[in-house]
Parts: sequence; structure tokens; C-alpha cells
Amino acid sequence: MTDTLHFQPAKSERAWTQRETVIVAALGIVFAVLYLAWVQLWLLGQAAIGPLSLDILFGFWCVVSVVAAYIIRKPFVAFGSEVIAAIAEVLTGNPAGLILVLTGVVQGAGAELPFALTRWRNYRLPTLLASGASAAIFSFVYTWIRFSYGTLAPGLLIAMAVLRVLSGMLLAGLLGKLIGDALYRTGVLSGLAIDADKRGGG
Amino acid sequence: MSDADAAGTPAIDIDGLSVRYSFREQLALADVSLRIEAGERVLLLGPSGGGKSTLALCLNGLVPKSIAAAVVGAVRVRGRDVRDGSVPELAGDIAYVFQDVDSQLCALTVEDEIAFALENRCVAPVEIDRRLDAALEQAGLPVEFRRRRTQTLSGGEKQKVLLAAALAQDAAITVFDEVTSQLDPAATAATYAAVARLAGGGRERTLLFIDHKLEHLLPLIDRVLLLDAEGRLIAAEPPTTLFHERYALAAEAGVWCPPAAELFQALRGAGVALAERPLTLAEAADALERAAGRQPVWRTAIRDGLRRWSAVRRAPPRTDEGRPLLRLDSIGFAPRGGPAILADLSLTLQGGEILGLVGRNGAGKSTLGQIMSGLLAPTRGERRMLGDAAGRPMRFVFQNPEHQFVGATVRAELAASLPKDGQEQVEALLCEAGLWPLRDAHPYELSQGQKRRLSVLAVVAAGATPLLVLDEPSYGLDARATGQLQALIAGQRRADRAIVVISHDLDLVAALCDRVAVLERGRLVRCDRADTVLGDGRFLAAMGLAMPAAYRLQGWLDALAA
Amino acid sequence: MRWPPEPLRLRRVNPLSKLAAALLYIAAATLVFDALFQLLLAAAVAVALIALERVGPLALLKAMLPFALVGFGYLWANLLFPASTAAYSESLGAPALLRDPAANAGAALFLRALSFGLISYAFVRSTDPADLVRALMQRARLPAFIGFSVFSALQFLPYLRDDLRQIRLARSMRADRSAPWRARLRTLPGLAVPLLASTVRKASRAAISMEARGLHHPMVRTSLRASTFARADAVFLVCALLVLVLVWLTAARL
Repeated sequence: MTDTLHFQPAKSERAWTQRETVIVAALGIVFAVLYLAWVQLWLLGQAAIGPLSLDILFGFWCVVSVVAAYIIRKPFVAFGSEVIAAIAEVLTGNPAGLILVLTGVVQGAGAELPFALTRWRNYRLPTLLASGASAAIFSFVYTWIRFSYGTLAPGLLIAMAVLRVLSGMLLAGLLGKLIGDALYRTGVLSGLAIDADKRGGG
Repeated sequence: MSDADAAGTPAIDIDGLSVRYSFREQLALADVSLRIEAGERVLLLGPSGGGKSTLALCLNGLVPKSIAAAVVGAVRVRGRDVRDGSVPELAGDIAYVFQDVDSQLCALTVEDEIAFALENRCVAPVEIDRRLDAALEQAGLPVEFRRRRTQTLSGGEKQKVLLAAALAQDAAITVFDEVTSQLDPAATAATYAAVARLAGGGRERTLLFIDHKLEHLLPLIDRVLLLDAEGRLIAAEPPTTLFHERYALAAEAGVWCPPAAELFQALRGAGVALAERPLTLAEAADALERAAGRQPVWRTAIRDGLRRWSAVRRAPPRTDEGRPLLRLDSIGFAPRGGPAILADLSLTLQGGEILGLVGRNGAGKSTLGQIMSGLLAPTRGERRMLGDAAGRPMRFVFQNPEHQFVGATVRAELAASLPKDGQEQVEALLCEAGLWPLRDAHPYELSQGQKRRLSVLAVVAAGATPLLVLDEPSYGLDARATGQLQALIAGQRRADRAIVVISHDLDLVAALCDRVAVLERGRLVRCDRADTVLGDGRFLAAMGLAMPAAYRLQGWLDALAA
Repeated sequence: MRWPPEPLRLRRVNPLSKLAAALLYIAAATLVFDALFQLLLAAAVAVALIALERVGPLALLKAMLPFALVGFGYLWANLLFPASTAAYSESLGAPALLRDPAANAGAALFLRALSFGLISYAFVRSTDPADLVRALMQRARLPAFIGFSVFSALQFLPYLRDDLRQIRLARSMRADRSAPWRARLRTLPGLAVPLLASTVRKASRAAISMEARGLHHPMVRTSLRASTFARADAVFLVCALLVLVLVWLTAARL
């Protein structure tokens, strides 16, 4: 019964309501599960074609930030969902948990940046694509430091960077919007900011 | 907890309450006024559609403070207007237990779960510790459970933990919102036993129940509040009054009525007007015994009335043997690297029959159903389709209708099931099912009953099939919707088709099925004619199943026939 | 999965102390570019895991497999696409472990990946999830409404896996088996939607249940179990630091 209800917005437009908080956590958990399948793909790729496989598949790991931000439209949702997805990995005993939390913090910050720069008011496609690209850039810098990319040929590095940014834009930005829109059509998002915006013509 | 228990202050006082959720046209509650005294046990009944839970959520201010709704009217809890406090403040007076167990758990261990509400109220740890043990005991759990991880518990155990959590709060009012909907019969009985102990232990707490499993609850209830489909309060009576004198009202509202009351209503219609007003079948049996003793001339009338009443609820035994359609030979199923879910199971399905598949939660019913319909391949043994059935697609209706929806609108969903040249049928089929007005809505926006209808329709429309398996088709449906579903399934019977109904609801199985197969821990324990299996009380109890109402009075019927 | 209350030393240490040590080690592994350093660091953590946490060597190898794969990717990327100038900074100033600079770099990165894996595994393995979130809420100012939301969402996990399986089965039933694999690939995103929809619903119900029990923000609350710092923490941190210094000195000298 409560499933299709409209919930009250928080007193301040920026604060997360309890419902939104659990949704962010739950989205993190769902994508953590979906990521596991994606990781198998990545590991095979990593052994086969080296670091490039990370760059090609990269975007999917950030899609939860875009989906969460797109439907809730409040500050730090993109960041929070990415971090919580990673913390969930720790709590379920994934050996890579701690590494994932650090990566999540960095990628989440990257994903959050474009939304912050537009003051959390713009959720059109270009912002979402920028979010994916920004996450990719932050991630690239971070992995450069972690795995000393300075030892690799510049040509390879450029290829990796370009692929990663493209992957971020498509597999996080675009895919995130598609998923968000499909989810909206089911009607379960009534009461969230996306609902208000869409009904208001946004 | 304030001392508002001064004599005369009702626990709950509602005056002219109307609630309309945002972006909905219909009122959830319409001008409801009621009083519930401190210590009363009240049952809230109504057709499925939300008015009941809305009322419960108004009591602590969640409607409208967290859930957006237009609210008119006053709600006073223990003398205090709900509008005047914040939800956390009001939370101290009311404890809730809801139906979806996994979405209520918010801690990893049992003791943390029970402590949660108390920690939020800043109760001292020493006091929390003390209340914890008491709460566990009241809920029927051993004290050793404290350190258990909630994820390792069964559904029934989890619900008991939530019950303990509600009890530990020591709240003046406790609300139980369909707490056993998701549990199997054995866990349901255990939960209600704990509730009965609570209710029997004194009148400090006011208890509000939203439920439809009346057999267990009615003996505890002081009053029944009945809501109709428009959210109006149409009755506030003691159960005996409502289900006997005002039976027509309850039946019209589409809610489940106690079988004992239905029986006595049927008897009244047959001219046997008995003075007793039983609510449980045990009481009914006693009443009938006394009546037959008093007026032996009534025995025939009573017998006929009983027979007619139970005949409607029991599928007539089949006379003809259908052709075998599907044979399962010693099949076993074990997912990769996991323990066997099914073992050494052999079964043959015949054309024209409806088979009921029952058993405890986790016995493997859904898996068996999926193997039967060819969705899953058995890891051992053989599944063979025989005769005309070979090579034709089999259909499975999933427990959760949403899992099988592929369309973005109701119309598209049905269209996806029909072949390209059968598209004209969409309109006709939707009209017949009463779904035409919703044709452009997203399937997820439908009510439970409508979703169920759509999922069955989509599967059935896909074309003639030799095997139709339905997994828990009546889950979440009220009396009216269940009746419609029953008719729908019965209407699918064909000589060259077998139907399998997997269900916890043995009353539905009794009404539909010719044969019943019972699973226990992955093994087929019994597969026999419905009346043989469903009439065997000892066997059903051993399997953790509840005997359907139509069979409970069987012994009586036999005695009368003598 | 039962977390047995055995008196293993690492379990008694507060999760936040372990977190601090783990972050320190990760920082060290990241900043130092030296194959021997990574090797010794990895070895030290592995020994701690086997001795203190009683992890079987075979189980350890199995858990490290994914990290080894990651490391292997960097190894052969370095072998095939090394930077043109041999300007690998040997940050410890000690002679390289392997003669060929590209191979040495590759080996250092491979071992670094393993170090990361071992450190992370050590943290995750020796930390009880409830203790961690509790420590974060009580000691690191994590707001209660976030901590409990995470606990709450964790409860959905078994149902997610089950749901995903059922959805896949349902889709395979409706799928047109004759369609080419490309078309079927396009239906993959469709799997996510039912899962996400039911997740959002469950999340909404969870929020109601927690609010009905008094959760709000900001709030002051008591706690049944307190997260404490004890002598074990000091001992642990000092030992961890000593080991790190030892490893550094050894790697630098050789």
C-alpha cells in the first residue's frame, strides 16, 4: 500500500529524508550485486588485454551515482551512493572491500562534481554525461597514483584515458538516465524530486 | 510515557478523519470517526486497497508528516492531538509490526534489533538489557537468540524478533499490520500464539490488528471496525454482532468472513435459525452438536446445509482419468555447488486435472513448478512430455507478477504475449478482465489483484498450453479478488491441459484441486485425491499445514449422516 | 555466517584502529615504488593473517586470485608498453630487484596489487560488520540515520539474489528463443528495472518502520553495546607501525 505513495519533502530542500537515505543505501546494495557480475567480466579482460579492460568497462561502476542523483536530486547523493555501495561490499565480506571504499570515495567525488557545479538543479543529459566523465577523470588520476602509470607508454595512457572518459559518459551518464527514466515509468518514484520535476514539466 | 491514562481518556480518538494522498483522486479514508478505549483489542477489516494501513499510520503522524497527504479531521492519541508533536515524540506511544519482515529489520543481530527503538528513546543500556530478555520470552524466543544474526533466522523467527522489538517498547498502543501475510501456516500459528499470550496477559496495552486470518484472532477481539472500499467506516461492532446479525454488510464489503459465520448464515438461509453465534469452527461444531441434540428434527436440515456449504468449497472428485501429459521420473535438483532442493521425485500429470502443490516454506514447491514447466532443467532424473504435449510450450505464472511483466503499459504487456496476428484480441481480453480503463497505465501501478489478473491473463493469452503452473496466485488478494481468481483458474480447465496450483492457501486448494501433492524438504511425501489428503488432520499437522475449513467439520458431517 | 566470539587478538581491536592501520599501509604501498618493499609488506600482512586470524594458506591464495589477476594485467602492460625512457623512480634508492627496468616495474606493480589485496582482506576479514558501523556511529560521527539505513539495506541482499534469479527465469520464459543474441542483449537493462522497483519500494517501507521507532536526525541516542578503545588498540597500532618501519628499513638497505 505504501508502495506508490507520495512522500513529504524534507524541511530543507537539501536534507535527505529517511526514505531517500534508505533508497540511496539500497541502490548501492543492488548495484553492488550487479557489479559482481560485471567484475567477472573485468577480471577476465584484465588478464587478457591488460588495464584497458578496466577503462572500457569502467562506466558501469559509476552508474549508481548517476541513477541515484537523477532520481533524488539532492546534494551528495551521487557521492553517498557510490560510497555506500562500496561499504556494503565490506559488510558482506568481499576481500576487496576496503579498496572499493577508497575507489568509491574518489569516483563518487568525481561524479558529484558536475552536480555541485550546477548547484544540484540541473539533471539534463549533458550534466549526467559530465558526471560520468568527471568520475572517469578522478578515477584516472587516482589509479595513476595507485599503479604508477608513469611507467607506461604515453600512447597507452592516452588510450586508457579516452576510453575511460567515453565509458563513463556512456555506461554511467547515458545508461543512468535510461535506467532512471525506465524506473520512473513504473511509478515507484512518486514523491521523489524526479517526480516533482517531471510533473512540473522539468 | 505520560500519565494520560486518567479514567475516561480513550487511547485513540478520531473525529471526522479524511485522508487523500497526493496525486490521487480517491479518498483513502472518508470522514472516519471512532474511539478506542485503553486496553481494548480492535480488529480493523476492509478490502485491500490501503484505507486500513493509512489509519494506522495516521496514529503516529507519519501521515501526513512523512507521507504526503491532505488530512482533514482530528486524531488524538492518549489525549494528545497528533498534529502537535513530531513523529519521534509520538513514536513513544505506539509500536508497530508490519508485514514485510525484511524491510523492517535494521540491525544485524537480534539484540540490536530489539534494542533499536529503545536506544532511539535514550533508554539506559542497563534498562535495555533488562527489557530485552523479557521481550524475547514474551515473543516465544529463547534467550540464547540474543547474539544470533538476523540473517540466519527463518521468516517466522524474524517476525518473532520484530514482535519482541515491539513488545520491548512497552508502548501504550501496539499495531499489528498483517503480520503473518508472508509466513507459512506453521509460522503463522506460532506468531498468533505469541500474540494470544500477550493479549491474555492483562489489559495495559491497547492492541490494534489489521488482518484477515480471523480464525486465530477473533477470540481475542473486543470490537471489529469495518471499512469499505471508499474508506468509510461502516461498522464498529463486537465480532459476534458483525458476523452474524450484520453478516450481509461484511460480505458486501468484500472482506474475509469467518467460515463459521458463513456456515451459520447458510444454515439460516436453509431455515435453520440457531441462537448461537460462533466465530471459530470449533465453536460452530459445539453449537451444532448442542442444536442437533436439542432438536433432532433439525438434523437433516443441518446436514444438508453443511453439505451445501462445504460442497462449494471442495472441488468435486473427478470421475474420468485424463491422458497422461507429463512424467517426472526420480528427478532431483541441486543448484551448482549447493545442497539438493529436490530429491527423488516422481509424478505424472494428467490432462483435465488441477493439481494442488503444498508444503512448508522452503520445501521446494516453486522449484518443482519451474521444473514441471520446463523453465529449469532437473539435475537428476528425467522430465518427459507425453503424447500431444510433447514440444509445446508450458506456462508458468510467477509468484511476483512484476517479475514477468515486460511491457511498459498494460496493453503492451498483453500484446507481447499474443502472436503478431492475434493483436485484435487485446482489447477484448482486457475488457473481459476489467482492465481496459487501465490500459495505458504501467503494470506496476496496478493493485495487487489487478496485477495478478494481468499476469495470469498474459500467460493464458499466449496460447493453448498443455500445462499451466501458478505460483501462489492468491497471495495478497482479498476475498472478492480471490473469488474472481478462483473462477478464472477453474475456467482454464481443458481435457488436454493440466493445471498446477502452488499455494499456502489450502482453502483455495480445496476449492479448486482434484489431487494434492505434498512436498516436505524436497521430497514428495504424498500425492493423492484432494479429499483424502486434505481430510487427514494428523498428516496435515505433521506437515505444518492448516486444514481447510471445508474439511474441519467433516467429522461432524459424517456423524450427522449416520 | 557466524562471527565466532573467539578471543582472536585482531577481533578485540576496535575497527577504527584497524582502519587507521590499513589506510596507513595502503598509503605506504602506494607511495613507495620498490618491488622488495611490496614483497615484504605483502608477506608481513599474509603472516599476520595466517597467524592471528587463522586463515588457511589455501583460502588466502584463493581470495588473492582476483588481485593477482589485476596485478598480472599491470605486469604485462609494463612489459609490452613501457615508457620510452628508463626513468623509473626507485623511490627507496635501493637497487632494483630485477635487472630489466620494465620487468622490475611490472613486478613492483604486481606485488603492489597483491599488497592492496592482502591489506583489504585483512581488514574485512577481521572486522565484524556490526562493530564497524557501530564504531563509525559512536566514534566517527556517522549519523545514525545513515548507519541504520545501511544495515536496513543489507537485509535486502538475500532477496535480491533470489529476485534476480526469478526475473531471469521469467524473462527467459517470455523471450523469443529464435531471436538473435543481439536483440536479447538489448533486453538486459530490462532486468534491472523490476529489481530496482521492488528495491525502492522496500526502501520506502524500511524508512517508515525506522521512523515509527523514533529514528530522526539530528538525534542523541544511547547504545546497548559501546564501541571502546582499550589497551589492545594501543598494542596493535604500535606493532603495526613497527612492522611497517621494519619492512621499510629492510627494503631500503638491500
